[in-house]
Formats: sequence, structure tokens, C-alpha cells
Amino acid sequence: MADAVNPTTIVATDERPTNVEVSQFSLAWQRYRKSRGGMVAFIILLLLTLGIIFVPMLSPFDVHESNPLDSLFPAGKTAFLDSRVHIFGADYLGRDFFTRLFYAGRASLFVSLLAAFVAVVFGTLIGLVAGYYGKWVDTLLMRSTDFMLALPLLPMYIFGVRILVTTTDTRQLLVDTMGGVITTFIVFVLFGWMGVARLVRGSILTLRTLDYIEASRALGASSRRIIFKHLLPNAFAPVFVAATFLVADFIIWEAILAYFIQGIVDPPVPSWGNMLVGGIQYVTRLANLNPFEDIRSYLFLMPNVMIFVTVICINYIGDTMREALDPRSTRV
Amino acid sequence: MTIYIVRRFFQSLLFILLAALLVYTGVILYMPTGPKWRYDRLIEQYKQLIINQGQDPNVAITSPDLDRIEKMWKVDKPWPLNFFTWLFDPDDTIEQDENFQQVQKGINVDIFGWHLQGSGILTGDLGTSTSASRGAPVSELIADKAGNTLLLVSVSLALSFLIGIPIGVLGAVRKNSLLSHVLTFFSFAGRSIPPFALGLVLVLVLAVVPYQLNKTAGWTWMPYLPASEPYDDGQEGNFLNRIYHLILPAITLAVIQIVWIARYVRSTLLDVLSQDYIRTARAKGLAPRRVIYKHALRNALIPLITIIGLLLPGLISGATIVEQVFSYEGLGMLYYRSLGGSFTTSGLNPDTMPAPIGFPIDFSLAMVMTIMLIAVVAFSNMLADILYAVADPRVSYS
Repeated sequence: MADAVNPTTIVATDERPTNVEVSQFSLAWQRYRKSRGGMVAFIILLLLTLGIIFVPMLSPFDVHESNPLDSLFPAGKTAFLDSRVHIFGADYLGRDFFTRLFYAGRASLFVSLLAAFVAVVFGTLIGLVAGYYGKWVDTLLMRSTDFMLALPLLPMYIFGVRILVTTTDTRQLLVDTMGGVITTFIVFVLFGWMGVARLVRGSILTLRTLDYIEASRALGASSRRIIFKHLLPNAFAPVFVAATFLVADFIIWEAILAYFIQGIVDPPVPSWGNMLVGGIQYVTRLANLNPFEDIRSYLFLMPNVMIFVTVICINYIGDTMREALDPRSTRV
Repeated sequence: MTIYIVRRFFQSLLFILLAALLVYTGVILYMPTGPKWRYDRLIEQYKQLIINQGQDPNVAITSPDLDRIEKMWKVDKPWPLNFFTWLFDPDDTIEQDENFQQVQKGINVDIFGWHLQGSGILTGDLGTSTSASRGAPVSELIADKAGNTLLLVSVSLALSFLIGIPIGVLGAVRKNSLLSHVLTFFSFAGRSIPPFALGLVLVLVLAVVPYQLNKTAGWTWMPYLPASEPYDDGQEGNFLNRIYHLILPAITLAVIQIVWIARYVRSTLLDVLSQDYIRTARAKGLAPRRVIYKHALRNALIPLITIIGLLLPGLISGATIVEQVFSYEGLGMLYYRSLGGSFTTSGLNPDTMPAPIGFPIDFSLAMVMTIMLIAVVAFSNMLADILYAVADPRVSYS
């Protein structure tokens, strides 16, 4: 962001001689639409999100409904007692795998989205305050940000989860009410805001020396007006990109933590991570059987596919957005 | 430059100290089931016992259990004195051996006329493992397994550079070609799957299914890869056997790094290619190949030296998971177990697990290895900064 200039003004004066105001985001959207990969990823993710939201209406099965007679049914087989079809088969308790797969998106994708949002808000605040006020505030905030950023994530997440979950007075709230989803959320926010804070602070430092900030200060604008009206909208593009990658990281970390400590999302509540870990036994079981007869490995592969599709779509969206939001980009 | 290096070194030391203080406070003092928690519970139980026996509850409690925790973790002292005495305690110099004899504990030396006596983890006394490998000294455990991990990490680092750099170069040179799009897809794909799942998929595709075809379907020509252990039984000294066992874990670990290296090379090369001296080289009529490989790539690869420093932390935490997946006996697997990771990859069903917390933490091992990890991160960051200044004459820190 060395030469961050307000792209709105450039385009409005150079290419559009009329006084039509084109917002930065509609410009970025115009550039975004040009990328085929980005659009495909966007549509797939949109469909997936709709599936996750409307899965109770799409599927005839309930998430927690277990039919022991349907245990480990293969994909496409009709339920034992009625004519409902298990699209992706059933797990060993006879719960419909398709329903759980989409329902798990709520604990994985939506919680990651929410955690990334809160982390971005928090990080932006820290970065804004540090960049705008400078001096000892900047030193203090950035030193602590650097400190947090250099801590290795894996032990921090694991210690964090253990400290939160096993404390008796928080256990009721964290585990029993929403199946550990809140724990996931807290540790992700706690160790996720630092990158955003550094980005915002860097942008602010270059932006605040520009003439238009000086001008609005000369006109008597308050600090709050300068921050929220002039600095923040212009510092926001890289943050938006960083936020998408944060969501992707959180989904992967949820799965890693599920493997590590047998699920931070408590088992009756499905998440892609704990479904993946629950399916691992069906991969290793293949070692003793003919792989072409026993096809239960979809119990392991399908959550994998869900994570893979979601995260790769998010990565593509983030990458396309990075190019679309770059003021130096020429692809209009 | 020397001043910068010295200052940076002391900054790193300060960072390690603060991070260790944070981990000590969180894990030892505030974690439920941790030493402080157990200590408080023991005291409560003894008090209750004394009250039940009708004695004065204010009498000082002495017990070998409490004594052991006090000696090991110093939780009876106020914060942050407990942390510093855990590092080095000049008062705690005597311990009992197995024959109940009083023996010297820690160090007792003279350095440049300074008399130094005391104990603590800074003197090299790292304690003994409790649950991951019961009763074994931590320092011995770490020394035993370090070799395997070093081999795995260096092989996968070399592999990721060998694959990552060409991918990055192709991505930059053939920008917007089909090949570049395919390579971008694969480098995103490597980032979009959890490392343990990638390892298991590779095991399924390259080890389990070929093995089945070889043994049960009668395709005896079909080669298959081993899915676990650093070497076959009795083949410890056989280097080829070790490499053979290293293929799958090294690839799994490398995939994550390849993504970073390829993207890094691509973006720096694109940056360099848009600079004036490249235009000059092209204008004077050099072959495009020569421009790219002789003029651009050389300069684009300079910052890559620094990325080794930045990759190390990820490599080590990646090794933690990958070694467990492939049951590759190394530091990663030891760390995994000391943090209370589940001991097997199969057979345990998360649906029947009572609470989502895994196995007990091996506190002495986990603390030492976490601080080691923090130190590696700090010093590799420092190394990255210094190498950057050494390699790139435009950067100066004076």
C-alpha cells in the first residue's frame, strides 16, 4: 500500500468525465465479474450457504434422528422402515449423512465467518487507534500485536480450549449450551485479529499523511469523522481480502483441532472437523478388507470434500478480490 | 549491523521470556487439572481431613505429594516469582534420591569468579515425563527423537523448494495461460485440505489400495508405500529403508509449504519483471529465456532465503500432526502426545467420548517443548530479518 491513492477520484476524473459518482465497491464488483474462477467460486459458495441454511427443509431426515436399522447404509439406499432415501448413506448410528454434512456447515463455516468478522472488527479497531494516535499508543499496541503474532498457534489453541472448556464454571456455558461452538469462536477470535491490526495500521500510516486528510482537518473535522469517514473506507480493501483468508484458515483449524483433541465441537452437534475424525476409522478399516467391497470410506471422504470445496472457493474469492480491489489493477 | 544483530538477539530473548511467562501462567497456574489446580485441591482435601479428625485446621500441612509439586513447579510462591524460580532457583539445591539420601541438585559451579548454585530448567534439569512416556527424563526423550524429525523436516523443506520454485516461476512467466491456472488451482488445493486428512488420503491412494491390489487381487508387480514407522523392524541403520518410509510424510508436509513458496516466488518474480532494468535487458535484444533466468529470477530468489525462517514454525507444527498420522517417531509425535492429543487415529469414536478435551497433558514435557517451539519461532524470525539485510543491499538497519 505504498502508493495508496483514492481510486474513486482517479476513475471519476480520468475515465468518466460526467459527475456520476461510482463507488469503490461497485467498481471492484465490475472487475470481479470479469474473473471466471472467482465467479464460479462465488456461485458454488452461495449454493453451499443456501444448502446449509435450508437443509432442514431440503432433507426428510432430522439431524439427530437415529435409525439403528439403517446403520452404515451405503449411499443412495432407502431407509429400512420407510421410503426416505439416504443420499450419502448413513453413519453407524443410522443418522442421515447428507443432512449432517450440510448441518455441520453451521458449526464450521458459519462460526468461522462470525469469528473472522469479530476478529476483523477488533483488529481494525486496534490498528486504527495505533495508526491514528501514534506515539506511545502505537508502540504499546503494536508491540503486543507483534508478540501475539509470533506465538505458535497450535499450542495456543490447544491450551486455550483446555483452559476454557475444563473450567467448571464456564463449562456449562461453553460446552453444554451450544456444543463447544462458543469455545471455538473464542479461541479463533483471540488469536486471529493480529494480522488485520497490522494491515490497518500500515494503511492508516500512509493514508494520514495524504493531503485530503490534512484538508479535512483544516476544515475542522473531528477525529471521529476523519477516522470513520475518510480513513477507514480507504484502508478497508486489504482487510476485506485478509478476512476471507481468515475464514478459510479457521475452517482448516477447526478440523485440525478436531483431530487433535477429538473435537472441540461436542459430538452430537456435527461439524466438518468432528465428522472427518469420526470417519477416520473407516479409512483404516479398509486395510483389512477388499477396498472395492467395503465402500464406507465416503464417511471420511465426504466431510473432506465439503471442507475442500468451501475452502478452495473462499481462497479463489479472496484472490480474485485482491486483484479487483487493487487500485493499480488495470482490468476494468 | 553488529549492533542490530545484538539488539535483535536480546529482543528475541525478551520475547521468549515473556511468551514463556504467558504459557507458564496459563498452563501451570490457571489450567484446570494443572499443577496449581491439583495443589489447591490437595490442600483442601488435607484441611478437610484434619478438620474431620478434630484437629486445629491452621496447622501447617506437610505431605510428600505437595512437596513434589512445590519442588517441581514452585506453585506455592507468588506470581511472577514462581515462574522465575521455576527457571532458576538458587535456594533449591538438595533433593532425595531413590535411596532417600540427600544429594546435590542442579548446578554448583564457578564462572569467572562468580559462584553459581541452584536448580531449575535453565540448569538443564528438564524434569521427567508423566503421561506421554512415563518416568523417562524429558531431555533424553527429546534427544532421542530429534534426529528423526530433523531428517523429516529437512527432506520436506528441500522437496518443497524443488517443487515450489518451478511452479512459482511458471506461474509468473506464463501468466494467464492454462498451465498457470492449473498450477494455481493445485496450489490452492494444497491449502484447502487439513494436513492430517491429506496424509490419510495419500495413505489410502498410495499405500492401502496398492497394498490390497498387491496382496489380495494378485497384482504382485504393484509397488506400495509403507504408511507408518520411520523404518522397518531391524532396519534402523539402512538409509534407503528410511528414505522409503519418509516418502509419504515428507510429501504431506511439503505440500503445505509448496503453496507458500510458489506464491511467494510468483509475486516477487512478477514484481521484478515489471522493473526498468528488465525492460532495458529486453530492449537491448537479449533472449527472453536469458532475461528471465539470468536477470530476473536471480534477483527474485534473494528474498526466498528469508522465507526459510518464516516456514520453520509452520513446518514444526505441521510435523506435529503429520508424524502422528504416519506414526513416525519424532519430536512432533512426542509433542502431540504431551499436549494430550488422542493416542490413536482409529478405534476411538468421538460420538462416545464423554468430553471434548482429549487425554491428560504431560505438563513437564509440554512446557519444555512449547518453550522450545517458541524459541525456534523467535530465532527463525530473527534469522529471517538478518538474512534479508545480508542478501539485499537495499535494506539497511543501521
